[in-house]
Amino acid sequence: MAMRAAIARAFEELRQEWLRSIIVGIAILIVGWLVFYPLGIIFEMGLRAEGGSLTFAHYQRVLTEPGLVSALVNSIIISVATTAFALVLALPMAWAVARTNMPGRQFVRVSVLVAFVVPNFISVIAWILLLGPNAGLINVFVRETFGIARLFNIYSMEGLVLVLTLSFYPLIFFAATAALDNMDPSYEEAAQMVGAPAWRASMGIALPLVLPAIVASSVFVFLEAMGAFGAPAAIGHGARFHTLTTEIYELFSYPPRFELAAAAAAPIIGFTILGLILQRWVLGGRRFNVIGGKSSAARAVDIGWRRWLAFGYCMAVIFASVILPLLILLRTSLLSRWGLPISWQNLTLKNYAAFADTSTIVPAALLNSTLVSAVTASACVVLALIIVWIVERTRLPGRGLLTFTSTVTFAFPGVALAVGFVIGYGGPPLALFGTIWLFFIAFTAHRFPFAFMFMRNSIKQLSSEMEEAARVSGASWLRSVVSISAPLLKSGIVAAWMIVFAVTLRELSMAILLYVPGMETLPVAIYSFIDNGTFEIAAAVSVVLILLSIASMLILRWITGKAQMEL
Amino acid sequence: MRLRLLICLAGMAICVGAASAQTAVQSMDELYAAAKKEGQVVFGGAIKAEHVTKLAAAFNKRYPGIAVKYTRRSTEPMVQLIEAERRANRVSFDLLNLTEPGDVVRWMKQAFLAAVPLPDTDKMLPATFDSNGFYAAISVTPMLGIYNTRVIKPGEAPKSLKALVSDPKWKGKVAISRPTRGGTSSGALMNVIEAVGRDFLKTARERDILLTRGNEAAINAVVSGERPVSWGVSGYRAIEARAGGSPIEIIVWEEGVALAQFIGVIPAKAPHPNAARLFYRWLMTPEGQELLVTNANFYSPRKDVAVTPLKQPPLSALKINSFSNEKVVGEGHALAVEFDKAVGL
Amino acid sequence: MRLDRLGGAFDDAVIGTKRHVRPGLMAKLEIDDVTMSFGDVVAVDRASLTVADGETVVLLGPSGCGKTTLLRLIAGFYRPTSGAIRINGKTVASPTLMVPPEKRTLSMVFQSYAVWPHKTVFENLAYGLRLRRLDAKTIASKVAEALATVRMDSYAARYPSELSGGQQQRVAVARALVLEPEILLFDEPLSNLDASLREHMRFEIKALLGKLGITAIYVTHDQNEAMVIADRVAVMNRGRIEQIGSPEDIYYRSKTDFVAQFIGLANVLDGEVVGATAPNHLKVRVERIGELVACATSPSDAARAARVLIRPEQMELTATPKPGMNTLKGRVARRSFVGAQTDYVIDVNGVALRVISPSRNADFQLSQDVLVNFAPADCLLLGV
Repeated sequence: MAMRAAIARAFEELRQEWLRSIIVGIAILIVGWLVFYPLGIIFEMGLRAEGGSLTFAHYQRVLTEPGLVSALVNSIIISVATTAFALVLALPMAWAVARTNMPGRQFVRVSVLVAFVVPNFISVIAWILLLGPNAGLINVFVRETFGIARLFNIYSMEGLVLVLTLSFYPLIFFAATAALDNMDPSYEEAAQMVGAPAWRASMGIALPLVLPAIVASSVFVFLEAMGAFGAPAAIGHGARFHTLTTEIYELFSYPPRFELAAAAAAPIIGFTILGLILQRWVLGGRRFNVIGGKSSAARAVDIGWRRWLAFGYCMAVIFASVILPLLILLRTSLLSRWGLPISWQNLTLKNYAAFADTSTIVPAALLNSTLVSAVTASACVVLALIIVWIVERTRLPGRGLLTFTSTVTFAFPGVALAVGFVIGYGGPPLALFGTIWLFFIAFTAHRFPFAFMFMRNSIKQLSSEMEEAARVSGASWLRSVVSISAPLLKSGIVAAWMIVFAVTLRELSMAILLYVPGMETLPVAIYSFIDNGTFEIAAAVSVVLILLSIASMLILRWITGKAQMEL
Repeated sequence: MRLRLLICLAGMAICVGAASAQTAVQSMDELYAAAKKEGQVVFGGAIKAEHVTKLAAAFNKRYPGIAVKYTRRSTEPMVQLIEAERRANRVSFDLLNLTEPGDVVRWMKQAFLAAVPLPDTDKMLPATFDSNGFYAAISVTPMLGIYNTRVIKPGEAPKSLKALVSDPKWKGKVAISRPTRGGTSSGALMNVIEAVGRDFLKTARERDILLTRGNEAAINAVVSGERPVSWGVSGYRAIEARAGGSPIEIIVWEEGVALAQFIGVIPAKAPHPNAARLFYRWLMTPEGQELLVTNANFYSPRKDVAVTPLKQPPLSALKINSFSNEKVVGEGHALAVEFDKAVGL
Repeated sequence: MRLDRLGGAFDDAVIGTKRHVRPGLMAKLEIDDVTMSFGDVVAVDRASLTVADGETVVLLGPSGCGKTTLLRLIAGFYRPTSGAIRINGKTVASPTLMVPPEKRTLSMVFQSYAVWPHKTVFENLAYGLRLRRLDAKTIASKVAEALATVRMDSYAARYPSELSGGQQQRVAVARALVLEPEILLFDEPLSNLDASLREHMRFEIKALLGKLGITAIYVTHDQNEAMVIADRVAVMNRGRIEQIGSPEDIYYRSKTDFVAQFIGLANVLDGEVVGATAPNHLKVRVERIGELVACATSPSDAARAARVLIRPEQMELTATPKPGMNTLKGRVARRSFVGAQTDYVIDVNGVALRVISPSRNADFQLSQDVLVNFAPADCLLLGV
């Protein structure tokens, strides 16, 4: 009897440990596979000659073929310019919001969040409608009022930089405000003591202190600009230039040239990894706030009459980046023909009827988008719970690598990563291309870092003793996680779920390579409508998509008053 | 490379040989008897679903018992779908209607298509059918020039392609569907080059032409006034847009216009081969053709069909420059690529 | 040098422990030569400890001394690098064997209380009982009983967020008790409470442990808390157990410099053994002070170099010498009146001695000449 009990007990111990080891092992394998398999495919494919032998010919072509070279050069120019302008735009705003007594600071914070929510493939519609060289509303107005042919031609490299800048400056704004919020005001006070005027002390002292956050977020903007697809595709075509991402897209259209596409994706991935290394190096051990964060109680600097100047500046940026594009989208979505002036005959709700019209791709796209986003969010959250637990609660060797793996795809341009997924899952034994499964897998790989970072933040705030108390009360490891940790992390889990859902909902750059007819997502549908020039329906679908995104961000803020994501 | 090409050509010769061996035209009664057993035909194309419903009703009146199942997709996604199916070794469509000659010619070479000779090709416009019966245009539409009537007064609209591509007045005024985009667009480019000569490519960049993805987008660019003129967009779309109240007017170039084809093909492994042939052959009869013209605003490739879309002038009244599908695929595509390079893409 | 000294202390600790197992009582918990390293860091270094049934042992030491690691090893959150842990004679942990915490028949009160905020007080207590598949009635009565023990019976339906820190603390204790564990572990349970509540709770816990007769291991860095609660105290330093003994033992018979300094106030003087006056009384010469008669706890203390400990309150200040005592001449260098006691620093030929004497005994003014007297029995020879 005692013998049997002892054996049973030994077996139970083994099972306990086994279960945990198996779950942990599988989670690590999944994450590793999700990240490294497509990357491996990209590099392997780029090196493979037709017969299967090793070759550098494809890489050579990327660097020598005029079309590809100019695409590479364009991408670099656009990314650098976007980063520079985003800095110029965001830094004064961030300083004014975080450190001064400018009026309407909270409004600016929320508005910038909305600007962040509107993806560039949507804002580009608005900008084409506003600044199309001949028919753009602003250009028409300028022509009719002042007789100037046009103010600005959106179909140009400058036009693309404008759209991307207004799309990505929030990233720098978030990082800089977070850093300034957390800054000790006594630094500034000390500078004032030695005789610097308040605003100068603040600028002079604050800037160097938040420099790491600024550099890190600049790297991020550079990478985002490099990986952007929607806006470059919409503008580059009309303006007759390519970027790396649109070039990769073209290499994928029939007949596909996968090897060359893989080789062209390599520079993007190279830049990304370099950028991430730079980011780590600049930040040292510090964390970098990507989204959200608490607003401070730090003392505001009184900048006198200049606060109205700052206010005017912030309002101008918000008007250009949020209000104007959204108004134009709304207006266009209500027109039956976007080129015609607004009138009662031209007003309609039929563009929204596309959501009910099964002869269009819109209803299916809405369903696909919701399904893909929901499954991706769920998969990311489950995986993140386990991986974060390993990273934060165990002393397993290699946790640093696991953290790196779990965050590296964060900054990866979707188009580049998608190349690996399309090729890697194109044929047996993993012939998932053309199925919704590949969407799940690829989006999970791409968006897992969001869940990881959110969950990590919340698990850090949860004392490990909560779990341990369950263990000593007699709960197994799995049970302690399920009945204690998971419920306690509920808000973190929901937040992670919502953010992944929101970012997946608006994901275009991967979907554009992954989709096959019948598998369109909302962004792909929007892109196709832009492609057709049917901006009215594109605008209507965009309005719905933006509302969905804003709703999920609001839920996110509502659930976790201080939802934030750190890198 | 050269070796591969030779193998390819040899394969083609065998296919063509095999196909011409069975060019006997079956009678419609024979086809109907066999088709009834199959019970349905799976049809895919870009025609609006409501138009196909009308066509199917007329077809079923004559040939009851054969359901027409229709999937609407424009050509590019349709081709992607077919290619995806082919990779999975599956064929679900019996009859396809495409605007892309490139894919049709490629599929023919890959022996993906069945030869279904038509009995009365002598009544069809030149270059609208394959002599071996692998394909034929189910409908055609001219690639018409259009201009925006709000921006350009009717008397001032360009009349010749020559003027459009050389007169400084039209610089920065033209929008077209990017020629590499597809056969209809490269056909329109070919028409321009034949009219004005290849030297145009040298100056193409300076003309500041707005490239769009597809005909619909080009029409929209003209309608909005972003660019007030286009040198050639799908005629049926232009006609529909004008009928729908868009401020555009049609230009038939002095040098003539290209003809775009909506090509019908039947996959060799179509699941319902007889029903496919029956429906296709019926669509090509004057009865089917008239229904297509009146419903979907296409022109008929049959010379003996007098009805025209929305009371437009008959094709015989326009100057039509016909390009065979092979020519569009070969020369047209090469030109389109050259054009891309010339404008800096 | 330092390591050697600690090694000696360690041997003593083992000997001391064995001596202290009370006859007739079974060893409930045995920690047998346990080492725990995290990478290069040795958190627990060859610790051995035997705890008798019903005994309360306090692990006392500064932060980072390894006491919490040792407790977590007992709980089963870590697997030892070497050595073994036995409960009721059965091995529960060794480098090759690891019984998970939920199978160790012990329970724990955490530093942060870890009262689950998403469960009511009742549910917090019932959780473990449910895992033991008890029926609802039994659970209800056991929970009620445990809550009554900590006088929290009227709070069963509350959520932790509605309770004060002290109340959460009681719930945490009740949750540990309700499972009727064989061993109860406390990880600095009072450190998050304010000072007066802490003072109060330590007596309450002591009373509770006495009433229940449960075996307990209690970790703290607060020596007063340790003294109140412990049957025996194990003083830890740098991963090692330096001394194990009753509170009196470790205070009056500190074996090492570290223990002496950590427990209470201590004057420690470096000297040299120069002879003996009686078997246990050695003559020690301290530089600048002269010869003292010190008391050795074991023969091994007869070494050339030596270190002596005199507790400040065991010294008496007088104007005239007292016979049979060590007497030193000095001058009052600092004087602080702190109520019942007066805290002096006496300068004896350049050596500062801390002396605490009852205020009513005598009052010496700053710079006044004074004699410092202490009995040889209160002058303890430490290992060097």
